[in-house]
Amino acid sequence: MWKVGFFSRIRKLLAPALTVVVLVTLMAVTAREREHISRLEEVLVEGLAPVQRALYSGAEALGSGVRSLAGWRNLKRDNARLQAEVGSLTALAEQARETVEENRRLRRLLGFAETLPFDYLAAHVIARNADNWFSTVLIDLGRRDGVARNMPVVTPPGLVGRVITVTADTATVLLTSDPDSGAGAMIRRSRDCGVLLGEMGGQGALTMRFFSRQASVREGDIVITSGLGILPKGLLLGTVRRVRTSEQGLLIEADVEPATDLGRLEEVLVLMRPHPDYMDVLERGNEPAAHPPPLDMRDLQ
Amino acid sequence: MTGVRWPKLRLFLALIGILTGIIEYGLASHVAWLGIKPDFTLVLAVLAGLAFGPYDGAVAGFFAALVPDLWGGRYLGVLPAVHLAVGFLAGIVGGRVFKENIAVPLSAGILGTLTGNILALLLYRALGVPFPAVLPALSIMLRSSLYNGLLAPFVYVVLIRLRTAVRATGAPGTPGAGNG
Repeated sequence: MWKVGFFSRIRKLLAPALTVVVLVTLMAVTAREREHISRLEEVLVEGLAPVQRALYSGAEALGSGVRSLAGWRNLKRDNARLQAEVGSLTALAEQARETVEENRRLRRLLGFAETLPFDYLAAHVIARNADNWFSTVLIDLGRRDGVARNMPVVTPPGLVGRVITVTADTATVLLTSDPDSGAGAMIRRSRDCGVLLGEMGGQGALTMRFFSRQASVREGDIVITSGLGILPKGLLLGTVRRVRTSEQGLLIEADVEPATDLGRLEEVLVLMRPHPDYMDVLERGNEPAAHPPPLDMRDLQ
Repeated sequence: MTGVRWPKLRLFLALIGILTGIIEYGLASHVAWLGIKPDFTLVLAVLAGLAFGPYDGAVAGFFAALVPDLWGGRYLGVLPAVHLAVGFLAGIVGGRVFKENIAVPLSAGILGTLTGNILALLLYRALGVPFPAVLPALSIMLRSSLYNGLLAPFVYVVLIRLRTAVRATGAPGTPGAGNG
């Protein structure tokens, strides 16, 4: 009898125990960045991407409509007798306005892209991470388009992040505000180098930690990528807002305001390959001075 | 609540969980309030536990967190583990409270979110992610708890109606059937 009860208890505990073992194994395996994601993950992301794209665009359109409606209240009062007539025209006008706005954004993106010494692809953001602690977005380009891991992703103001996982038709971009992000950075004025770090739940906040205790940095300094690491040199990262010492008092740190509003990404550019002359300049050890002012996107705003 | 669970209910909760996960990933960033996104999946886990019991809450939470977890591609397993635990705990606590009071889902949403966030931060820390700064983290946790708490009663109404429908079927071992 006691054997029956014992095995019965073991059987009841088996499912929860197996679940815990599987989950802990998954956490340990996936805690580090991986070269490739599993086939199951790839199938899931690919399969649900169209659904996510539809949900994301639908929500954007709805939000735009609600914001416009608030501004139309006064017009509605003054033009009450024309309401029925203009009703359908108003709906068409809103669609046109959204198209014009998208056109304006894309023209800005194209104008900026033509100054880049890189081959590039334009992508739409189709989903964002759903939690409040990390910062990633999903774009609608993938392996089939030539996108690969560690490719930089930019907008007209500056760098937004890099590609960390790729499926056939989508890619996940790790934003600079993510706690796992660490971009090699440099103060454009003083050339002092450091690393730009995101913060968990920081909601866009960036911190630059300098290598040298004698680093020259002040409020208003422009921060660009240093080229030390994965990202190419010269991409705009942000502007210094405050300088301080680290908690231990050993290092200089700076709070950096990102060049791009990472909470409002809609279209981005994925930088594919640098142009041949850009690489030649770097290999000779010189600044890419022949190219436009290292990608100071604010001139285009 | 004891006895044999109604397997179709768990399957239904699992499917609802998966659908909630998909919706959350597509819509959460669009309904952010003061920069805070709601956590529909955590709300579902807590309230399913409250309405149906610990094991059903665990199932709902686990499957609800699967899609956002797999989509993220990093630290796989953390979200399902947290949601499973929170759903289970909510079920245990739920067996001791008067569930018809509107304050119960509101409080459960707030406390469940706080608990879930703390568990998640502890797991991420164990995996090497540094703790965030205290004050900003507390601000995020409190705001998201409040947001989820305000959403909870609406979700709870739907789950209570589902529980009533399940009882009405008289299926063998229906949760709470005949137990008042």
